[in-house]
Amino acid sequence: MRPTDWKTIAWNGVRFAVPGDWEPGRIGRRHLLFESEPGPVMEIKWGAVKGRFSRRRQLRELSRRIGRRRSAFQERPLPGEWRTSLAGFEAAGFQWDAANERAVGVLLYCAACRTVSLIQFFERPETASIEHTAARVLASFRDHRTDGRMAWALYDIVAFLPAHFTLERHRFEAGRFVLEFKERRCRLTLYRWAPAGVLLHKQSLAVFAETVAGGAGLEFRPMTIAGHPGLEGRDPAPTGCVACLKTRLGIVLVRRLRLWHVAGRNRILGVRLEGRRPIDDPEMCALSDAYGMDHEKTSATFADPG
Amino acid sequence: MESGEVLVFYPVTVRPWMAKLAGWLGDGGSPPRTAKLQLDQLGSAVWAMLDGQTPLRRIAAAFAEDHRLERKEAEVAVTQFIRELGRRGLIGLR
Repeated sequence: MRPTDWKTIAWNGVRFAVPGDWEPGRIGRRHLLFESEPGPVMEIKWGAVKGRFSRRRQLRELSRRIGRRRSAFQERPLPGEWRTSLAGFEAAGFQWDAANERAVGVLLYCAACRTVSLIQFFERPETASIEHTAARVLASFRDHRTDGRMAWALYDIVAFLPAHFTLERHRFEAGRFVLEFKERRCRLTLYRWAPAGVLLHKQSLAVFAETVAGGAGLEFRPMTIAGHPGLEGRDPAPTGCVACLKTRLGIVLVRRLRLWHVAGRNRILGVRLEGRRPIDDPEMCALSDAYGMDHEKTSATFADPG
Repeated sequence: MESGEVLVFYPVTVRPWMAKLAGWLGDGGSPPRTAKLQLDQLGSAVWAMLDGQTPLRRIAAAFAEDHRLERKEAEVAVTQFIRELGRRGLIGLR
């Protein structure tokens, strides 16, 4: 990816575009910190507002927090370019200066989804002003969708999941990404492993699924998933009336696992769904179709039909 | 090794009090112990790039390109590996 390319980031309700060389340095449930070659460049925190939103109170709290780091905080009017980009939000600009660092930022409130977002961009004396790049980031910023789905796009993976799946845990380790979501009666896990060439060098995808992807005890069958060779594992069909009854009553845990090898990108992707209710084929297909690599999901996919 | 993976033999330094104890037990003259570390395919690839000159960032970039990994992901993996080698005393870090 050339540094001039931009990429879409989508995480737990918010989405925006950043330059291609900005990488997530810290990932929290409602917090992202981006870094580029010289250091941190952007930070975003967001959350739902309980009760009445008070811009004054939020800025006072922010000023107190920043003041503790011996930085001089001040409110400032939004630059013209920013104001145009943020027309749909109630927005308040600010900046702070410290010994060898400076940040410009904005506090945003969306009345439609009652979300408050704090976005700040860091500048160093040796780097050029970030305001123009920031304007483009802010122009792409969205904090809700109207189609009942939630987009997830970080590093090279993209997912569009029904909004009722809430993020429970995430791990971005070298070679292994895991996102765990839960819903009332089931748990969804998205996996991404790399480099596939090395992981599948001495074992087949089926063996990998059993030993590494937690598919022990499942019955696997080969299938094509999103045009890639893959397999699906499911629990052996219950035999006998008691076992069938237990499954129907939700006494036993039902598991389905799909894994596929994206050879062109040297990755293995996986979707695991487990719950105390039957999992049917259309549901499993919809979830595996909703997950993929960044090159498979174009920017049009991120667009909210509403 | 035949598989292309690297097997590293390295001397293990014994803690002074253990060396003293070994001396008392009459084992002071035995040759120094060696340990071995078998690197997997990825570790072997990074090991081959360690020449004492190439900066870590460039090694990580080459590693990312060879295995089509994310830049950040490769940096973390290579840094952890190098740190582990340093902890075992196999390489010195500047």
